Amino acid sequence: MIKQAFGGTYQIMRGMGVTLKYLFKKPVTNQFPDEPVVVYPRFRGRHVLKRHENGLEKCIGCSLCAAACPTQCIRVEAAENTDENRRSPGERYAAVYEINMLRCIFCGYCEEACPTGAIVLEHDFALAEYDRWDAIYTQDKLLEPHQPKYIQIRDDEVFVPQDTWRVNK
Amino acid sequence: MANEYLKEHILLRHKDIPNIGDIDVYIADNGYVGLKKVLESMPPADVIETVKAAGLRGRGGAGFPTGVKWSFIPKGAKDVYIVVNADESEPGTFKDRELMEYNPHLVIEGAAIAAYAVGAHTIYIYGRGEFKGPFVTLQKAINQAYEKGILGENAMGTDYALDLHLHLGAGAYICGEETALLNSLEGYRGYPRSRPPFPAVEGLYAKPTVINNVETMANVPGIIRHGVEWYRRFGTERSPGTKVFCLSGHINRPGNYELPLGAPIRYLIEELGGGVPNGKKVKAVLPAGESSLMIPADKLDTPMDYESMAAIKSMLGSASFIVMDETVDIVWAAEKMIHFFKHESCGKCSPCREGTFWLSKVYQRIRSGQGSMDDIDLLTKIVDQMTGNTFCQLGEFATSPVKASLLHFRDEYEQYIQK
Amino acid sequence: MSELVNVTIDGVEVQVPKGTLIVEAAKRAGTEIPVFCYHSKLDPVGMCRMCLVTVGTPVRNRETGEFEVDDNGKQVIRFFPKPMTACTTPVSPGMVVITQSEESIADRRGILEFLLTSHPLDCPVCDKGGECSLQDLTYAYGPGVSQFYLEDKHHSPKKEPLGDLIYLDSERCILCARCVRFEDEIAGDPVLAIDNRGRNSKIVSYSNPKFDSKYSGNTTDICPVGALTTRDFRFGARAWELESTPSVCNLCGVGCNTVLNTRFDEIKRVMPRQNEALNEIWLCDKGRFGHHFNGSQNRLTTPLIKKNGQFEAASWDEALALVARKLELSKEKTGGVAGAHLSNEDLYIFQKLFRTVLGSNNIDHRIGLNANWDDQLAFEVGAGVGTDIGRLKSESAILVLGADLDEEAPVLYLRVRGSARRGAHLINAGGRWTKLDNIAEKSLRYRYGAESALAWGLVAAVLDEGLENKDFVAARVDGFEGLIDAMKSFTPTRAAEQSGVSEDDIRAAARTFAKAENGVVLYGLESGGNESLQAAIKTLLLITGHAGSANNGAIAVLPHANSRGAADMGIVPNRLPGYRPVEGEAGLSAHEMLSPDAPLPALYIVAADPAAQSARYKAAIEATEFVVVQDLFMTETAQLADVVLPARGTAERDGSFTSVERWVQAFDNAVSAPALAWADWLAFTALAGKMGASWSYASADGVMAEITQTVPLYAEMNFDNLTRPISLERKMSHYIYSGTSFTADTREGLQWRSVAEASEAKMPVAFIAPADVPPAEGMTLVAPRVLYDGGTLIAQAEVVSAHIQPAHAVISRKDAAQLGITADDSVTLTVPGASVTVPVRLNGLVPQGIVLVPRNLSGFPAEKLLGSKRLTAVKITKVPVAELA
Repeated sequence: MIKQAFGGTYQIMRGMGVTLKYLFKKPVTNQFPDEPVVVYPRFRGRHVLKRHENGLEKCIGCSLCAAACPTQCIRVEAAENTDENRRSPGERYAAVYEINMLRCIFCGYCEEACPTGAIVLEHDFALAEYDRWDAIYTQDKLLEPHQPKYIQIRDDEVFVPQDTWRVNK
Repeated sequence: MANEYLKEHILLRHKDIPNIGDIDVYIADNGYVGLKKVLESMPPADVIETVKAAGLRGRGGAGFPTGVKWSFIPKGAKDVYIVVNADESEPGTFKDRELMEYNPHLVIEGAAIAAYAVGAHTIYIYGRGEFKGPFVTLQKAINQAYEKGILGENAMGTDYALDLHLHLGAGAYICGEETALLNSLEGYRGYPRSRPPFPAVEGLYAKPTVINNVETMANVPGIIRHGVEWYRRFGTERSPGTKVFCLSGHINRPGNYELPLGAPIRYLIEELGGGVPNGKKVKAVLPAGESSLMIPADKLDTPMDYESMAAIKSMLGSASFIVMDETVDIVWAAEKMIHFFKHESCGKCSPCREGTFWLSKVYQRIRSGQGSMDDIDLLTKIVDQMTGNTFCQLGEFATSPVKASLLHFRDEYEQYIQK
Repeated sequence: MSELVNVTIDGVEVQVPKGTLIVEAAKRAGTEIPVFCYHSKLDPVGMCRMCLVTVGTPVRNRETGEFEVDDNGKQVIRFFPKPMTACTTPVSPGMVVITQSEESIADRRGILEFLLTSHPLDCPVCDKGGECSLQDLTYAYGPGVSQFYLEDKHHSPKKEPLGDLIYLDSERCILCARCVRFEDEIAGDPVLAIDNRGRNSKIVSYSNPKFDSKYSGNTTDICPVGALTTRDFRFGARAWELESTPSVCNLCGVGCNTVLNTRFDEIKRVMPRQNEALNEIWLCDKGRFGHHFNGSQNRLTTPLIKKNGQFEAASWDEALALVARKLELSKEKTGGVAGAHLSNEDLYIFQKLFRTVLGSNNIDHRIGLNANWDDQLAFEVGAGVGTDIGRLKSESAILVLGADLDEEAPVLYLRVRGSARRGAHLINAGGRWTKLDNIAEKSLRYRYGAESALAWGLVAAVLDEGLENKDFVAARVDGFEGLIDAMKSFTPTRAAEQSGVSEDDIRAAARTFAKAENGVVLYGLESGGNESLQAAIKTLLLITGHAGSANNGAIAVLPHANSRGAADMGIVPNRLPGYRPVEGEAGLSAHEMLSPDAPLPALYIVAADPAAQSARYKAAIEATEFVVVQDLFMTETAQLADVVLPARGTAERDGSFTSVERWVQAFDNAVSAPALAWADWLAFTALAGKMGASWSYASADGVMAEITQTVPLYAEMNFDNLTRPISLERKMSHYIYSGTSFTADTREGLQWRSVAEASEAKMPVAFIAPADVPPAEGMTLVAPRVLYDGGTLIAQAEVVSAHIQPAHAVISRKDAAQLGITADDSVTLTVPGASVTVPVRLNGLVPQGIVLVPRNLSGFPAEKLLGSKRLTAVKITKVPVAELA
């Protein structure tokens, strides 16, 4: 009986000990969204349509991302640049660019297929919407800049893409 | 005496008889005897046999036996045409021009005999666009021939009709290629045609056609006039007859020289041409303009006939010798030649159109000092990709400057790159 | 069958006809030799050098002429030292071809590397990407890496309009000259050429307007790269994103097979669908670019009922109830006009509605200038089943009579031209110069109005020279003796006097036609097509034996997509479907129905716009008490209607058309229609339902099922047969693997048999004396048809509507000089009761004394002047400049 009573106390003490131990440790809980979440550089999250330094869109509306997409969640319709309305260098730009985020499986094939590096899977993962229709991301939503404050990229792993193109020798 | 090898000129007879361009002078010098002879007494087949027996080979470059070419015309064919190729566009070649300007009746007589031999009544002489001047002289000679009744409804008083027309092209190297010439003559683009059908079957206006060089035609009257025995006295067994050699470049006395085939190159350059100016040495010789592979100085004792030239991996071609002395930068020269071919490529087939363009880009790079050793290999590769794959010979010829200069003067390329 | 030759290609031995090119023989052996410049429809040129193969021939012993054999008993093969172009080299007996030799593969890699040195590699933005020969062959044979330096690239302008429909990107051009050769060889419009030479070569057009060809779109199909692209498809979609629906062109009577390429329920482009029996792989620009009316903003979207002079939207139920109530009152006095763009199913139900529900025979599909042409010739002696007008042998003769095929039936022109180019004897008889005269062996220039005299003249010449086919006449012709008697008074000499064609020409043409192994007659709009002419052509065909078999007979070049079908389906007042005469009295023709003097109580006008054509028709429609119009657009006629019903376009429904060559072909639904637009047959069925009939057609398919039961000609034409895929063998025999892919693996359609084929019975011939038309005093007005006219549909198609010609008159330069008219002037044309003022054009090819005013142009000047006549004397006066201002 006494043994039992002591045994119970011991167990409680042990349990409290754990609690006590963690009371003084740094908590692992991330205070999202007040605090940034740290992700790896090669984390594949929400797509971003990139721009050139001069502000023109990199996307030329070639639809190769849509062709590569295994879930067919990308829709592209192209149009022609004019001197008055220039959206991208060259002749062609994407007049409509939509991704259905509900369908996307974040495989990154679109990024791989892109001949201009226009579509990049960046680090945003907070993609909840109140309306299903809002999950179809349109071009204005996808275009740069998109830098949510709640994401921080780890810098301990640096990925250097190898330039596989032979440009001049 | 014309030279050591030839007592008197046969083709360049105006060097012996200055006024031979005039029809009376020409007739006085046994002129039009050959034509009269064939029209009056020889059946066409005999004429072809005679020319075959004489072993006359085409002087335009390929050296194809002329008699054999004539015999390809189907027997009994109607509307046969004779076309004389006077599109002398090979750089360094100016023999046809001299013949037409100074000894036109010899050419006319030759063409007329050829026409009779194959049963043609119409002769076209197609000249390059720049031949306005020579064609004025030639037209005068033709007019004289018409006045004398040598040409016309009743040629030489017989019932054989012979008409001769002159046609000037617009000036394109490719139109010296016989099928491109025919296209140009018909009013189309100067694009070579695919063979078969060969011109002997379907040539001008889809009729059987014989196309011969001006100089080939000039050889014919002599054969008919003096006979096979006489003709075979000149030249070698397989390359009989005499040939006009054009000499230009670094030479003291450039010009046309008539020699029997088989005379050595050195004789032409040193004895007739008077050697290289300022006592310089010969570095290389282009034996048939830019389309031939250049010959280095140590091969100058080669006899100038079709077989011997082929044996040293070059060719006699139109026999236009361009002499380059020791100061010549071979890479520079090759670039110039490639530029010429790039400019003259008709654009019909892709290897020639793109290949010459690419070669010229690589040469520009090498010459501007930007080249690498890879570029020398690249030249070889491009040339290999062109060889044998082009539509006509122009594309093939365009590779010769690269091939020969790399074969004999590779060190000069390397010097450019190491600079 | 020509001589066969055995050749071995990559170890596979095949037998091919002598003269076959290696590249074609390889297809039979199951090997694909890569090509750029070669196209099986064009003459080979050997420009691109892509098809280089190793070729060897067996060695023959010089003395014996026998093939030499080695120790193992195999033939000794000597290979040519240089590779040969497979596209220009014909096979020879025993030839051995190696397409995959190491040298050939290296050569191809080299050629591709050369071609790519000047090619921009902008595949991601190129409209050809995905269906590009250069892309495909680079993947198959090309080098992975180029040794060419990027900065050395040759640059040219990216987007130049070659014509107003076609863009040229000369950077992408690989100078295969397919476009140039197509225009020269196939189209006969030498408007393209290569300019400059070498690397600076460039495709140019010096015509005015640029690229002046009705076939320009085809050059984009056969272009092996993206150098030529169409204006309307520019960046429209990537090739792989498009859905393909087989369809049939509805803009003329040829019945070209098309593929509607759609994306997101919108037609992105129309491509030819390969059908070697009909349009091969060609399509005219009208067919290719004329589809844009489908997406027009001006479409009717809902039924409309006119209340107090204003249209108000209504439901179908409401609208049909009103129509039913009104037609109950008019019953057998109702008139029906159905345009010949409607499908067979629509037309059948339309006539069924009129004949069974309303009891009226007042139906017609011919209005205006076509009103008098009722073709029965094709029913009796139509060109036999299996006729291939594009591949007639050199022993054949083609007689074209009064048809400007280039304008009326463009692809038929291409095919006739193709036959003529390959040696068939083409006789082109017309009142004026037409483009076929360029290639015709003989041109007969008759006086307008004397077509029948010329045709009977040919008959007379055949009889006079005893050239008739005696066996055929004995077996199949009835009344031949009577014909000879009747024609005693009508000699070739008399025909020459009446027609203005010299007797020698008539006789020569008759000889050519009679002596030919096969003979086809095409007659068209300008011939008038009257009874005497039809009888003459029938007689000519029968007495020369050119009837009742393939490649023999007549083709009526009718004006609309389903004019043939309309005649078959009995949309004429005097015949039931299948050319059976009506029981009892014939009804009124359209021209009689649309008479302001005796208006009918009610009119049902479908897919036709008579009010726009003439004041007379307009007055008649205004005088009619109740008018229903069913159409795609708010036409002038629709504005006068009491009820307007929205219909569906060809692309928005299924159905079938019958072409002028009697091919019945099904088309499918490709895009959705405006929500309330109905297929025409559905509207008729619903209306019949409101009027007490209980028809239960669920689909066009179901309607056709009934047609197969009730119309013997169409017994085989159920949709299962019409949509059956063509056999693999047939597909492979014409397989074209280079250039834009042609969907060839679909249906082909069926042809119905004419009387001459269907039975062995004797057919009667009888002389109907041609009207003697004396040479007119002054000017005669003729109304030819031009391709780009102001039809209801084409006017709404934005890309080609710029090509629609404004109203104009054409006169000869000599007449113009006499009348003091210059090219900048306008003229007033006056006939009794009407007068129009139009700008004038001068043309040296128009005969003197003729004024051409094309029909169906804006304002309908020709229709206003001619009424339903074919020719008329006209007074032409120059409009003073002051008046114009």
